[in-house]
Amino acid sequence: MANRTDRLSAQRISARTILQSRLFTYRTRQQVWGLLFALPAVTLFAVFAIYPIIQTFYISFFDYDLVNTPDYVGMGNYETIFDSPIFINSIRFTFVYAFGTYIPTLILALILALTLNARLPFRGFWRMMNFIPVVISWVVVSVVWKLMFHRNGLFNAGLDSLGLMTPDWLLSTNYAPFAIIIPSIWKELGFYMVIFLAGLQNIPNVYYEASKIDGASSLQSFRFITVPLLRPTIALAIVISLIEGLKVFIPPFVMTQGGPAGTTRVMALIIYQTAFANGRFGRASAMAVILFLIILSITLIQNRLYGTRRDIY
Amino acid sequence: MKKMTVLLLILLLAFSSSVLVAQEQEPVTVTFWSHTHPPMVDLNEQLIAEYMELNPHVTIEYQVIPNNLFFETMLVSTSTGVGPDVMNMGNAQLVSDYLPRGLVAELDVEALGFESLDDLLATYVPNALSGAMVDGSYYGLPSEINTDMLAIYTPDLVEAGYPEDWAPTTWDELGEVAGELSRFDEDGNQTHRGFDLVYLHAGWFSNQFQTLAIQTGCTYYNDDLTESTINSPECVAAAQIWHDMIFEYQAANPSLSSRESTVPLQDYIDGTVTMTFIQPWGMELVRQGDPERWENTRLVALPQVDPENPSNKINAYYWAVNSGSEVQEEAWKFIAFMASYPGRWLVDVNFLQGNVGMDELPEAADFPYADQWMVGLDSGDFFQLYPAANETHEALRVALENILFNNTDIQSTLDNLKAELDFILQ
Repeated sequence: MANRTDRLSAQRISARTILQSRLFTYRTRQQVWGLLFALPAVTLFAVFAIYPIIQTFYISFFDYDLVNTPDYVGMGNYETIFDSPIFINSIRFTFVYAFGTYIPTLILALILALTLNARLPFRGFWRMMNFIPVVISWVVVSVVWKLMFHRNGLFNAGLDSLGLMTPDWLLSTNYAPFAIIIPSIWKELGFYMVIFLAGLQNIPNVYYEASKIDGASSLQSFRFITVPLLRPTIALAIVISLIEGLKVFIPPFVMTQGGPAGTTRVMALIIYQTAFANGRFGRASAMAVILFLIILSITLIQNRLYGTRRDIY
Repeated sequence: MKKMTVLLLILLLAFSSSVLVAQEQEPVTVTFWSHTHPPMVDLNEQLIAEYMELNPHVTIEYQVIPNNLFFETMLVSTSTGVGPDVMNMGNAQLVSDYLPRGLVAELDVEALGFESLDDLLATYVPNALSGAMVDGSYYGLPSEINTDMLAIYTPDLVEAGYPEDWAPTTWDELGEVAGELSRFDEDGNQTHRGFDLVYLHAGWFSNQFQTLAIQTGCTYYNDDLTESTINSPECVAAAQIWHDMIFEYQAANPSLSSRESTVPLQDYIDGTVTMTFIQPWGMELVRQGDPERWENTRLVALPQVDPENPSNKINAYYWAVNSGSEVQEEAWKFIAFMASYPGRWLVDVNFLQGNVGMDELPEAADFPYADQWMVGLDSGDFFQLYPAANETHEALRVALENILFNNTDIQSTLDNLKAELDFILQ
């Protein structure tokens, strides 16, 4: 009897020990602690990002004005917004802005990065000067540039002193888009310069030394060494910049309110106006979903095109 | 002992009455938001302080919202239940955006201090509350009722060789003279405008267009609000008046206008335009902005499409109570207090509030052009009521910018606008 009891007791102890050891291994404890530390941030992200995104998808199927009970309309909002010339034009200008801003930005940023990667006097100072616009808020940049683009502003004063044409930047449907794009390039240049600088500094110098020995010119080095090895960085910059460009809101909101005549009305601005000025939250949510799908599609395509290339090295 | 008893009785009485008073005057907080009009804000603050002094248990929390964000701030906050108890809202938005959503409360006649609605209405001129009336129910008291006159800076007129008392009777007459008053530099760039309007937010475009539209017979939508009529010949005619001021007479030039000013008449105050539309509240703005300019300003009736049958547009702002407010009765009492000083509103802010016998007020003697304003109000009418005011105004602004900035064909631009306004009705 005593032996059977002892055996059972030993078995229970053994089972408990096994269970405890499986539950509370060092690795498990580490994982649990990690989750606990991440929990506040994850909770905040879930509440302020994930939940609103899910809600947006949900509300896009309803006619909702924040006051009355949402009225289910199925795909009605999506059909309606694609009948709206204003929305279609906003998609068009959003792409115009994105490509018009970030193609020049990336090209200029790469040139700047190549220049400032070389051993130049006061290199750190020039890098800092180019990065300063990045840390200035978009609102401040937009307000200041709006004043500069005034008919009698600094920009036209400079053009006038050179004997050039002085357009009415903010009131002209031809020039207003440029008035939005130019300050965006100015502000974003430094950020992508830093990204390219980091990419350039990751390229082992031994390749350049070898190319010199082989008699390659600077252009050949750039084309056959720098570009291929910088490709992941360029891909990253393109993805980030396109997403930023498609989400733009502040410059057109502050500088032109989408005018003149709706020519600078980007998707984010029309979403804002549809929701908060017109009180049509269902329709605005549908627009937001469309913007999300556009950005997602482009990102997936870019990932597919650039992906992870292991044949670079 | 007897003294002690008396003392105790007195203390008991005092305590009882203080308890009763405390029960009657439970602390109440009323929130009140308005747009930004400096003279109005000043008087609001004075009256609020006076009201709180008279009613110590009441706290009025007053907030001034920037004009260019006013409509969306009000609509979203009110819709989500965080809006103010008392709002000061334009008639177009009140009827088209707030009432359909059930966001404003019907007048509480008793809280306003009247025995019946008829008694209340009898204290106002016939049109005064029409802008906040739907299906016979009223939703606000007027804080300001406006019509338009033409402000003229007389020295410019005299300098150009015109008599000091010149006044245009038609729009062509205005355009021709204003064109002569415009000035250009040696490169042909316009530096001064003989006449111009204001190019601020969408509400301004609509407000001024309606002044022209009511004269031509233009409406935004048909009577049963099933289709837009914005591309009608009448609406084309209204847009043509504004267009011609810029491109035919070279009297106006939007590129010279300030599009950021908090004070809508800033261009007139600054002297970059000789003539412009003005409403009663504008007089105090000009006087405060430049007393000398005001001294040399003369107001005359607007030109008319049909001088034999003049038409004037009325628009108004109303004090209204949020239907979600938990202190509606106190809110209406506060509004009643605010509305009980028409003389102060006249003199300090130049706000007409449509009270009967307003011209007999002592302050009316100091109110500039009182008779002319009253004529305009008596003969004027509110523009058509229509749904989705913010959306309509924004679409109209885009179309007018095309016409006025880019000189696009008026008919085709309004045809496109009609498609957008029909879309709004869906």
